[in-house]
Amino acid sequence: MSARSWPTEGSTRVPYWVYSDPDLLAAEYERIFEGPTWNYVALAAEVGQPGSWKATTIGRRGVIVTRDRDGRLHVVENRCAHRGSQLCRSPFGSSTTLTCPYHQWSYGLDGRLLGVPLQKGIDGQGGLPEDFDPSAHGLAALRVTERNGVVFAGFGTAEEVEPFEDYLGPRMLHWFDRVFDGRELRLLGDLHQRIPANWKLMFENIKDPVHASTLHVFLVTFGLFRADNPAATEMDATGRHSVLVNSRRPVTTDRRRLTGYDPELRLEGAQLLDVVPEFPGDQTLVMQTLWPGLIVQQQSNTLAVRQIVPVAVDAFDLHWTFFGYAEDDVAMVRRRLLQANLMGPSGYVSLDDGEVLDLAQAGVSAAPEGAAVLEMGGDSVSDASHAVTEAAVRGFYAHYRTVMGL
Amino acid sequence: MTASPSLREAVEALYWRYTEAIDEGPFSAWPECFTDDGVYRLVQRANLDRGLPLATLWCEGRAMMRDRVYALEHANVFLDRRVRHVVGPASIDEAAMTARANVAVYETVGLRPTALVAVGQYRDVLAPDGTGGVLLQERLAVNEAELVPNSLVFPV
Repeated sequence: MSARSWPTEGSTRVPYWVYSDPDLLAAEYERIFEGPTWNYVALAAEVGQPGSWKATTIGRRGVIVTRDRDGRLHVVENRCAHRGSQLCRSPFGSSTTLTCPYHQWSYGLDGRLLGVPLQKGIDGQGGLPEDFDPSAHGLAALRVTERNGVVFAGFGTAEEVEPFEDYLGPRMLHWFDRVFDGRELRLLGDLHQRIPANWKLMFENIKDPVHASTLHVFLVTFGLFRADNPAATEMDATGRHSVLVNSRRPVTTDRRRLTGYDPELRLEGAQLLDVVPEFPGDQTLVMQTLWPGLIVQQQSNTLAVRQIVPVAVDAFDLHWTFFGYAEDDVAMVRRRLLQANLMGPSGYVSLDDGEVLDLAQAGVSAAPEGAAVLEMGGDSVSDASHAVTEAAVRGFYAHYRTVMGL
Repeated sequence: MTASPSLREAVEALYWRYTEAIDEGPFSAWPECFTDDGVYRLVQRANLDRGLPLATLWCEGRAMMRDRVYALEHANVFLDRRVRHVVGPASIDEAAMTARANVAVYETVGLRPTALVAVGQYRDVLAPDGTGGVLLQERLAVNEAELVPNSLVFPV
């Protein structure tokens, strides 16, 4: 990796070796996912009951999100302190303790080691030494924060990372709180994909407003996201987080024809796009990316979080959790479920993204000496009040280079 | 479960038409396996078991199914692929007019190794078609392959 240097053009280029270098991925796990970051792990509603837990992943590390009997949330490593086995044999569960199936080391939901069978030996023989200190052998605990029903965690100490509000900054917090406004959330369901591409390509995709008009015929034709809608591209001060915003307008015949427009595409089943404005402002689409691995999706009335888990240089898992609000009436739940047809691995919109990411990885992985040309919107890494810029992708890599020492 | 030979034949014929529409085409024949107000839902098993209502794909009525056919043929962008449904024998409840059958879907994209893209079970509600055959009033396709290898382009 020390031989690698960024192209001299700087922010308008992304060298293709970032998508295929295994040493770089190892360093990303350490510096980013195990570093001073806040990583999405769950919606609080997924571990609503005391005693409930969810097994998930941050980067390459298995973690368990628990709610103890006093209602407090914990996140601990899914790795027994004894000999390193993972403890959870299912993705969700409910229990008073976390017990490793191998030697039955038993932990509280906060990770404290509660008991080791045969600790005292049998008939005076064997067992652990007298001075064995259980408090030094618990499940490693992560720092945890929750904001408006969304749970984040990270490795290292609290002093090593900003409080969540500062980590996002005021602009990103505004958009986050627009969807997560304190109302109780209602889970609608999960979807999972393994996309055969480097994880950063997914982040780039959601920071790239241009492709929405050129790739997604469905979005353009139905006005759900168009370059000629009122639009904005915003970042936080570091460039690591961003939002793409679009405000749907009626697609009338005098509107500029964009590349993706299909005049024949009409919906017989109009209930798919029975959209009701439900948030402040007239923005109908807000796609937020939060470093290092979360996408928050508000597309009309379909809401989801998408968690990115890198698996290899050329593969990442995308875990979607769709949600609404506990106060949604039957009609709103129905709307959300119908509009979910736009999303996920079969989605009218998102299907295209997984497929082009496959093609993108196939191209870039074979040519590490090449580089992407990002000159839409010049070389700016500033916010824009339009959707014809690659500024958010440049901003992302500016921060990435700082963190990775590139 | 036993069913009269005529119903069994009708169900077999329907199930064959269904998979042929998707695997061999024309895809426009897929909605015609349903009643006009028929419902198709592709759901992940884990969501079903957790009592969560999300469907991966939900078509309410033939109209939404025709929209899905049009979008896949004219709007969506994906690598060319072939899919092949392998459907097991149906278990039919004649009194309730329901049926179930196991299903696996294999997908081949170019020269890549063929992959299992979905596996699970059809849970169907049948309706007579008025000429001795049956149509789908409802098809719930339950997919137990939770981690989708990128895309599930075609209905299961």
